[in-house]
Amino acid sequence: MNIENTASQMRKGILEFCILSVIKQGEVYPSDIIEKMKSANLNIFEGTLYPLLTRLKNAELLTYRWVESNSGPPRKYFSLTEKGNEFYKELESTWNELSDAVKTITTQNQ
Amino acid sequence: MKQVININYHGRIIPIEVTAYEMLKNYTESLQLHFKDEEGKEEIINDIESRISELFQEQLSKGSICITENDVNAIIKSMGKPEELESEPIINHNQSGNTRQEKHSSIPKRLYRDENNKLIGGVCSGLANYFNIDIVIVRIIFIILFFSFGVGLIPYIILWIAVPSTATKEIGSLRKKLYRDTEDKLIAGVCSGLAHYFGINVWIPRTLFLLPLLSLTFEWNHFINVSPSSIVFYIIFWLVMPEAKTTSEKLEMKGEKVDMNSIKNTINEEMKGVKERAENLGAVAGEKIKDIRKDSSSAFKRLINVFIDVIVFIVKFISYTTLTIIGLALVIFLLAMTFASFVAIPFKDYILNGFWQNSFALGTLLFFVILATVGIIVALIKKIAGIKTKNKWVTTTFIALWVLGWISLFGLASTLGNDFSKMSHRDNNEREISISQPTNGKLIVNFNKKPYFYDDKDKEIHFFEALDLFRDSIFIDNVDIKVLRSLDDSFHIRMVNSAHGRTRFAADTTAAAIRINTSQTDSIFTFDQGIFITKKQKFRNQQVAVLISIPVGKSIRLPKSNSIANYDDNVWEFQNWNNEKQTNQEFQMTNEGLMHVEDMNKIDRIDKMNKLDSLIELKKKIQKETAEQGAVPKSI
Repeated sequence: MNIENTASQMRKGILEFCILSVIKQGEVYPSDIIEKMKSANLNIFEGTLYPLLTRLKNAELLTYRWVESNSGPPRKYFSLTEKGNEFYKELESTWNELSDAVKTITTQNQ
Repeated sequence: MKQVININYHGRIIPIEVTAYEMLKNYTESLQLHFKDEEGKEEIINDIESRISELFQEQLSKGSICITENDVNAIIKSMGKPEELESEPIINHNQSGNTRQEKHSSIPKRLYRDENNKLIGGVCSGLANYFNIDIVIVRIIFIILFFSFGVGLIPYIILWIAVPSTATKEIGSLRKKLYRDTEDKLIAGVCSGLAHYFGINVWIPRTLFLLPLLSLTFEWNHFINVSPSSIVFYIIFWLVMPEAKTTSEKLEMKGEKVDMNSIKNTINEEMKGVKERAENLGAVAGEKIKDIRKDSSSAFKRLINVFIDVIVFIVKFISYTTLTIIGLALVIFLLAMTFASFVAIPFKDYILNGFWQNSFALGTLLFFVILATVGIIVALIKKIAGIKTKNKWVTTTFIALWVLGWISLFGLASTLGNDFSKMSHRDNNEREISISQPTNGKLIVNFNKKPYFYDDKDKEIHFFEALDLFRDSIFIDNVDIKVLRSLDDSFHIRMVNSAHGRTRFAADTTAAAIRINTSQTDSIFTFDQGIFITKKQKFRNQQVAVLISIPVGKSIRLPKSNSIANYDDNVWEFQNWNNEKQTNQEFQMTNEGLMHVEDMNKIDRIDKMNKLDSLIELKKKIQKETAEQGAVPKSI
């Protein structure tokens, strides 16, 4: 068993949830998302983020609009769709269940 | 001084170093590969590039005049290299469930060498990945091919060179690549490319390719026997090495310094790596073979099992047999040498001369022959009885003494060889012996009886037929008879002495000292069949040739023990076989050559018979014709 593999699997499980959370808080563009995740100590490569965003958008959980910027070409600003909102709520409850369960089990061990 | 170009990157003009641009391009390409099967990949890459362009802008506005390699590196680091990207979705999107972990299977099958999984060059790994068969099987196939007359070696090397390794898929790896430099070409730029790669002057590879061809043209010593192969190699390189067309390729061609040191280091590490990997692989292979055997569900795998068993058995059998045969041969040889040495001891004073030769001979006998025999016998006994003595000193002493033995052997061989190296002159040592012509035209030749001593004082040991050992001398049969056709009509007898020595003068002296007693009574001519050699005189291959010239039409009788050994250039050489007694020793010299008288009589008789037969035939014919014709006889 590879520790990196397992850890990476854990991360993958929660990445989508975290990204959706950030977007839920307000309309953002990708580098904002990276910043916010960084400040919460969850580092993610832009190369990982962009494909995820695209997938979520293709699944109609996200939508974006182009916003002109003063320096250079327009940027994409992402926000949650209705579907995305519901999806997020489900993920949130799943996460809560899981994190409670894990907390219980790990504290039982000690 | 670096070249800088301007690019229009997603709506911004970016001045960027050429090398940095190439890195950027590589990165983008690797992303393309990474997202090959991704839905909306164009969008993703577009987004990423936009972001990069933004970052470039920031960098420039901070005050940089252009984007450097460092900038691009940093950006790539922060964006993430393809292998670092977490790309597997948990949620079921419109995505084929292909796991990205196996890069090889999601990318359309291209043949790469897998340098992460390599023993030597990763060729078998790459092939195994490409064809989806177990790597061990591929390796076994190569090994079999290799052992059938080396058929596998050339394809392996060609694949090693031609198939790109997975390492080139890494972005930012400015590995030096082997390209042809068509800007600096004589024929196809092969030598230039090689020169760039190794960092040597272009004329070095050119000379290396041309040298064998020169030897072909001028017919120098063909020690460089590779003249046509140098052309073949050139063509192979020409075909395999790609041309460096784009700037990036040209840069890669000239890239980082690959000099002899770095090559040496690389090779050293590779070799170390190979050894370790081979050891690992040995262990792994053993288990793998067990695994393969366990899973014998498919007939194919069963076949492989049998195949493996057979091969292993054959290899083991061959190696054990060969080793045993070599070992046995060695032992037999040494034993024979020991025996021969002991046999030769009484003769040593007749051959060896001086302190050094004697010492060398002694040294050879003791340390080379006896020691080795004893050593081998002891080792065998130890092995059989299972005794293990780990006494280093014994082994070291053994080996040291045996080396001494080798030195003695060489000393002996060289000094002794010297003593026999020169041969005596013929002219000085040839003399004509005056004889009286036999009255009936037949000369009878006989040997004097060999000396026998029945006195206890002069004990004799009869060794071989040609060699008798007396107490202080040896007698060797060294007289050979040669018969020629006489140029006049008389018999002539000449004797030629010969010997060998360290110098021609020494050889002449030895030859002159040879004494052969001759005598003639009527038509019988006798002489000694050998000479005595004393310890002082030394055996130096003393030989005597008795040349008997016989005129045509006359005959000779030779001793019973002689028979024809050789005929060359009108000289009939006889050999004195003491054992074989010939019965027919009467010879006659004719115009056609020396012939047995008996044969000649036979021929005569046959001739007469033939003549008689033809006469009878003729007579019959005449009688017939006479009868047919009536009474008119035809004139005969």
